[in-house]
Formats: sequence, C-alpha cells, structure tokens
Amino acid sequence: MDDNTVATLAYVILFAPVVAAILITLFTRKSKGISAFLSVGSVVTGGILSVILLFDQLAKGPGTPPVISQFEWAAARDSAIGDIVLNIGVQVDFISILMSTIVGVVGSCIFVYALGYMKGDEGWSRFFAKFAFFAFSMLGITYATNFVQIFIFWELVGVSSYLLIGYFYQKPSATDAGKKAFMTNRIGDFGMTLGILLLFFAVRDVFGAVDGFSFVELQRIFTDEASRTLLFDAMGWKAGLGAFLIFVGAMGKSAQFPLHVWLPDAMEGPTPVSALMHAATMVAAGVYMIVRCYWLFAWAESAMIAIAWIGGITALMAATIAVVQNDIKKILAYSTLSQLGYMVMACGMWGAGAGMFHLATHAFFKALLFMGAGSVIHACHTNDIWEMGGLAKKMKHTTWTFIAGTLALAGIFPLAGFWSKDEILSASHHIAPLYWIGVGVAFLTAFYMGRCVFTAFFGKYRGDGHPHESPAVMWVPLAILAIFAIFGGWVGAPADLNPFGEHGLQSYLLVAYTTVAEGAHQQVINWPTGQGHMAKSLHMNVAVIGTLVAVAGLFVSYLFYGSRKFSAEKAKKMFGPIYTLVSNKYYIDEFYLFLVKKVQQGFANLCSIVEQHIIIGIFVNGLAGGAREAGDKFRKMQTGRVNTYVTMILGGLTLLVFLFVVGKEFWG
Amino acid sequence: MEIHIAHYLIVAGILFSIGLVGVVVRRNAIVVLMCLELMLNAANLVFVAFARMHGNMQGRIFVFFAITVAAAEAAVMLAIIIAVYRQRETVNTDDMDIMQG
Amino acid sequence: MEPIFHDLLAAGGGHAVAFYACSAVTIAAAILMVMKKNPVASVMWLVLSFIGLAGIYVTLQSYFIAVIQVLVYAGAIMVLFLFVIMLLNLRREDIAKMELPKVPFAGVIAAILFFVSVFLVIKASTPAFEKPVDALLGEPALAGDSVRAIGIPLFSQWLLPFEITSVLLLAAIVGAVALTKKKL
Repeated sequence: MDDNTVATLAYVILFAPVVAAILITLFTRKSKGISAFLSVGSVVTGGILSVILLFDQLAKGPGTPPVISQFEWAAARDSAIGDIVLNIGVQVDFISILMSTIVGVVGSCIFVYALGYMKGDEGWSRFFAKFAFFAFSMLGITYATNFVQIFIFWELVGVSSYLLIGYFYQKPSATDAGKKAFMTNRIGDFGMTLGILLLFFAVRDVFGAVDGFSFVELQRIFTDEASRTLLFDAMGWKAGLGAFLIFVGAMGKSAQFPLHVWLPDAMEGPTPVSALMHAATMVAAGVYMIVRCYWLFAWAESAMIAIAWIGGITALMAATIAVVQNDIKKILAYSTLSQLGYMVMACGMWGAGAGMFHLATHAFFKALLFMGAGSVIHACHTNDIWEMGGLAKKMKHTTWTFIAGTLALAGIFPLAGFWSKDEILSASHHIAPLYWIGVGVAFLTAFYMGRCVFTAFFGKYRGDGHPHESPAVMWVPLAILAIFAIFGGWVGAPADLNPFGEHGLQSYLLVAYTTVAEGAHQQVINWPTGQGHMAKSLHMNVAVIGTLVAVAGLFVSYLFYGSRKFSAEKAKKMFGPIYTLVSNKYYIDEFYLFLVKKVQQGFANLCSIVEQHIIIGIFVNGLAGGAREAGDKFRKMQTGRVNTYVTMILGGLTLLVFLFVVGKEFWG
Repeated sequence: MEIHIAHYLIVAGILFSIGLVGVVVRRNAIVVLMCLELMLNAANLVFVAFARMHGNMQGRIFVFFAITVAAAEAAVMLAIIIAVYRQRETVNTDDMDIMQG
Repeated sequence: MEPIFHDLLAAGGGHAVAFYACSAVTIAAAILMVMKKNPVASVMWLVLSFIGLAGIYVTLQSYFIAVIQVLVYAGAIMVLFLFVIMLLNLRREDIAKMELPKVPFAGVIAAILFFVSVFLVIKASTPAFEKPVDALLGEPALAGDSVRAIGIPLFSQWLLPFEITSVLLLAAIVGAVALTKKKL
C-alpha cells in the first residue's frame, strides 16, 4: 500500500467512530437498532482496517518509516518570537497500528458483547454514542502526530471516561466515581501540560524554528547524539523534570500510584465500559504514550528510575489489595492496576518493548476477564464472589474462557501472559529490588486470580438466584478473546521459540521506537543500559522462576479456596494488622479525603474568613459603606439653593484669601 | 486732612462687604442681583482709584468695559429671573431647590 | 465744566470734604439697600448709592466714568430692575416670607474679607501710594478734555475689545429675548 492509502485508512479508522457518535446523538436516538449498528459498525470497521494496516506493515518489514499526514489546525505567527503551529493528523507506524489494532479488535469484541449486556437498558443509544466517542478519543491518542494533538485526545478520553463511568447517572456513587476519575486525571493532565510546554520552549530556545510539539521532529533531535547533547546541556536538570512531568500525565491515565485511586471506583460504570476503558485501552494510553515518546524518556535517566519505581510500587500495592477484595470487578480492577504498574515498571527499565507487548496481551485477557465477570454478574445479579460458587457447571463457556484469561494473566506457559511477563521480568533483571517485586507480584497475581476462580466457579453455589449461561452475543466475543489470550503470546516470543522466527513482534517494536525515521538512514539505537535488542532465546532462569511462582500462587490459592486445607480466616487473623491495612487499600483514599476535607477545606475556610471579614467586610462593603455614609452626609450640603452655594463659594474664597495673604504675611 | 488712595480702597472694601452680606442674606433674587451689582461697582472703584494713582487711562477703560458687561449681565439675569418666575411662580431663592441632593 | 470741579476740589480741604460726603452717601445708601425689605425701596437706595459713587469718581478726576455711571447704572440698569419688579408684581406677604436671617455667618465672612483688605491696604507701600491724591500728578490730557482722553485709546489701542463688547451686548439682547419670550 502506498502512503496515501495508509493515511486515508488511518483517517477512516480515526473518524468513523466520531461520525457514528454524532449521527447517533443527532438523529438515531430513538431507533436502537440503527444506533447499535452505527456504533458497532464503526468500531468493527476500524478493527478490520487496523488489521489490514497491520498486515501491510508486517509485509513491509521492520523499520518502515512512519507515514505522516497532517494539516494545520491553528497557528500563531509572529516574526519576533517565531511561529507556533499546531497540527492535527495521523502518524502511522508500527506502534500506532499495533495500538489501533488492539483498540479495534478488543473494542469490536466488547462492542458486540455490549449488545447483549446492555439489552433492555433505556439509555441504549446514549451508551453506544458515548462508547463510539470513546473509541474515537482513544484512536486520536493512538494516531497523534504531536504533543498537542495527543493532549487534546487525552482530555477527550478523560471526558468520555467521565461520561461512561457516570453512565448510571441516577446512582450517586456512579456520578461520584465519574467526577473522581475526571479530577484525578486532571492532576495528571496538568503535569503533562507543564511537561509539554517545558519541552517545547526548551527545544525552541535551542533549535529555533523546529516544531517542538511534533513527535518526528523531537525524535530526530533526541536520537541524534549531537543535538541531544546540545539540548540536554541547555536544559540541565529540567530535562529530567520535563520527562517526568509528561509521565505524570501517564500516571493519571494509567492509574499509577499515587493517582491510582480513581480506577477501582470507575467500576461503577457498566461492565463493558470497565472492560474496554479501565482494563484494555484507556488505561493503556499512559503506557502507550511512554512508548510513543520513548526517545524522550530513554535519555532522561532520573525520570526513568522514578518511572520504574512508581510502576513497581503500583504493581505491588495493587496486587496486595486485590488479594483481599470480595467484589469480582474490584479484584479485576486492582489486578489491572497491578498489571499497569508492571508495564510502567518495564518501560522505566528501558524495556518499552516488553511494556508494549504486555499492554497488547493484557488488553486481550483483561478484557476477556472483565467480560467474563460481566457475564457472571449478569447471571448472578451480584458482584460478590462469596455469593457465587459452582458456576462451572452452569456457565460452561464463561467458565472456560475465564479460566483461560486467568491462566494467561497468571503467566502460565504458554499462554499470552507468560511471554510478556517473561519479557518484563527480563527487562527488570538489572534492578534487583524491582525484579523481586515483579516476582512477588507474579505470585500474588496467580494467587488472587486463583482465589477468585476457585471461589466463584467451583464448590457449591451460595447465592439464591438461578444462574444460567449468557446469550451467544456475549460468550462468542469471550471465546474470540480467549483464543487470543491462549495463543496471542507466541507472536512476541523470543526468536528461537517464535513461529515467525527473527521477525517476531519485538523485532518490529524495537525498530519502531528506536530508529530515526529518515529514509534509508536508519540507525538502531543502543539504550544506555545496552538493551534494545530482541531476545534471541528465553532467559531460562527468569522463565522458570516466573512460571514456578505463578504455579505456586495458583496452588496456594487452591489450598485455601479449592480444597480448603488451610483456612482463610486463620490467615486473616495471622496477618491481623497487615490485613486491616491492605483491606483498607492502605488508607490512601482516606488520606486523600483527609487532605480534601481537613487541609483543603481548612484552608478554604481560612480563605473564606479572610474574604468575608477582611476583603468584603473592610474593603468591599467597608469602602462602599463608607462612601454611602459619606454621601448621605454630604448630600445634605446640596440644598439646591443658590444662596447656599454662594455662601460656600464666598466661604472658600475668604479662606483662600486668608491663607494666601495673611498666611503669607505671618508664616512666610 | 489728606485723602490717600488707601481711603478709596477702604470705601471699596466696605461696599464690597455690604454687597456680599446682601447676596448671602437676601432671599429675593432681584435684590441678590442688585447686591451683585454693588460688589461689581466696588471693584470698579478700585480700578478707577489705581488709574488715578498711576495717572493713566487703562483702568478707566477697563471700568468702561466692566459697566458694559454689567449691563449685559443684568439684562440676561433679569431675563432668567422672569423665566424662573414663569415656571415656579416665585423669585425666592429658597424655593429654587430642585437641585437638592 | 471739568476745570470748575478741578478748582473746587483743589480749594483747601475741598477734596476731603467731597470725598467724605460722597463716601458717606454711598455707604449709607448701600446699607439701606440691603436692609430694605421692599425691593422697590432697595432699587431706590441703590440708585442713590451709585450716584454717590459717581461723586467719588469725580474726586478721582474720572469725569467720563462718573457720567457713564449715572447714565448706565443709575439710569438704564436701575430702570430695568424697577421694571422687572413691577412686572413680577410680588405680593407683600411673599416679600416678607423671603427674609430669613443668616446675618451672623454672612457678617463674619464680610468682616473677615473687609479686615483682610484693610490690612492689605495698610501694609501696601509704594511711593505713589504714600502720596495724598492731590499730590499725584494729573494726566496732562485730563486737564483739557477727558472724553477725548478716554476716546483715543478706546478706539485705537482697545478697538478690538470695544467691538467684541458690541457682540456681547447683541448676544445679551438675543439671550434676554429668547429667555423671556413664551413662544419663539
């Protein structure tokens, strides 16, 4: 395919959902069938076109230069300070196509699934319009050519996320969760704004007329050693700060500690929303952005270390919380947090390829798990795993797909999660504490997923409903995703195990984010740690340890919740204070509440007192009141009679004469 | 008994003060106007006295103009008083208070 | 006629007598003008005051100004006042009601102004000021024809102001008519 076709297809993928959303909102709200057709159709089209683009890209081989098509959106031209031009367009390269494929394929499955899940909901058309709008926002991030565009769509993702979390707007908890997500994201976005501007002005100061927003231009600067050194010398410590601030945006979207608090609450939205946004795509935007701007992060070592540690902390913290949750969606939400922490941790240790790979596999199996959970919730009418049990006999399709997702997430050979987790653990090998955190998280992941599966699907049914299998429109997407979850990992396997040999996913990824796009002059960069090449073969010790801890996690969970050899109650008592701490999510929400309620509210009260009594009391009302009082008194002087005025004039004249003449005589 | 310019000036001062008191005290607009004329004449007297002292014509010519202007002024003022009287049926300055604050 | 005045004033003490007599008349008439409640009486006393003032002008050898004073002020302007008073035809009770004593305040102001001016007069000292009026040199032209003496500068040096005065008078006439006429 030539470049024009590629760009056109990308535009179609990008704009089809928004066109659908607009049509639904304006014209077809009443007719549910057309609304659903438009919405699902736009995303399925996007998915199919993305797959076509992906195959085209694969056929062209690794290192194909990006296709960029953009138009000027807004410009401030000034000869004195230089032009600032904002562009909107599409940048089509391997990373964006991969992300768009994930969004398209996972999104298609979830959209179809939503047809069953949302059946009978009165907001049907509204839901599908918002859903399509979300897909548009996410694809906008995916295909962004510059920082301004990515930021605009970043915000649009925030808006659509807000709309969808608060979809059940009659429920106060849902609207609260929406607001919480939006505000938490705003904190991250603010950091991102600052980072983008810092970088833009630094680049302009050093290089003049270069477009400091454009990814390609920036990539050119950062990958060339001479210009990079020039820029870093000029920026000094601000380089690391700028990279970190941009990462703060990713912290908000990808729910990294300490901005992770919104994600578990976001489960208030309908389950397809949780599956699409808070598991597969939107939360992946942060990781995607890190990979997209990897040329920036890779050289800011201090920022990288911070990123790695934040990822590690998030992964561990969320995994421990997931262990004590009883709500099936909350378990998966914390699991998502934990896995996102994993990806970020990998990115922070120069393993962007591993992070992106895990993002891809995770999108499939986590969407699967969420939709499976949705199917279970649909059947049992409860979220509590203790009110389920024995579902394996009643919901065969849901059960096997859910188990497939669980094993993939746990990282059991040879399912998808195994390969990406192995990549991550290999990448983190050189920072020992983070490596062991990664291993611990792998264990915990297997454990909490095992707990969930053994409790919900095996044993005796403990609820009081009559659970039954969901309709085909819901379980078929599950099956499709399950196939990806089982076999999808092979494409990213190390060369000697990869069915594509040397041309595995990693070879494309590495080249895509490490090369400078300049025609024939392509140059593979060695990152500071010397990583950046596709693994030739499996790191045996990493793979073995990873698999062992995963199996151990599942086995321990079997002992607790399957065979009930050990009592979970006793373990709870044994861990007493730690259990309390973890089950209260480390009191982070309480801490934020304290910050808002006591610190911020206290400060606001103080401001209020100052405002009420000093500013309004003395300055505003005091001055106005004084003026009014004075006016009341002085208006009496205006008798309107000529005599009074004459008297006053003469009084004044006399005084003046007296002062000028007599005063001058006596006081010189 | 020698008469100095100072004597004239003091007479002018007395006349001016009488006029002033009249302007302030009287409520009849016409009388107020007459008191103003008196004050004007006090000023004229000063001009003439100094013209005499310096022995030239300037001061006298000035008085000539002042008398002319005073005549014009008196005519206009009286016209105003008549207009006001037509409107409000009064020439009492205390009743002319629509500008009261 | 002028030299006659001249001689009379120059005759021993004549000047002083004339000055004091005229001043007394002027001031007394002015006081009465302010004090009379009836505006017609006020006008009459004002006429007398202006005639006295004309006498003072004569003692200053300003014969022409004295004549103008009598003609314009005591004659024309005062007739105008009288005419307006008659025209408005105010009733007695209205006149009585108008008088509200505000004397103390006005008196204080007037007294201050008066004493300040007296103070200034006493303080002033220039050679010319020291001399009695009789000892001051009369203007050469004055001895002959004072109308001529005032006429020549008026129509040469002061011609433009003189002409502007005529415009002023015209404006005053138009203004007075416009103000008083009921329908234009």
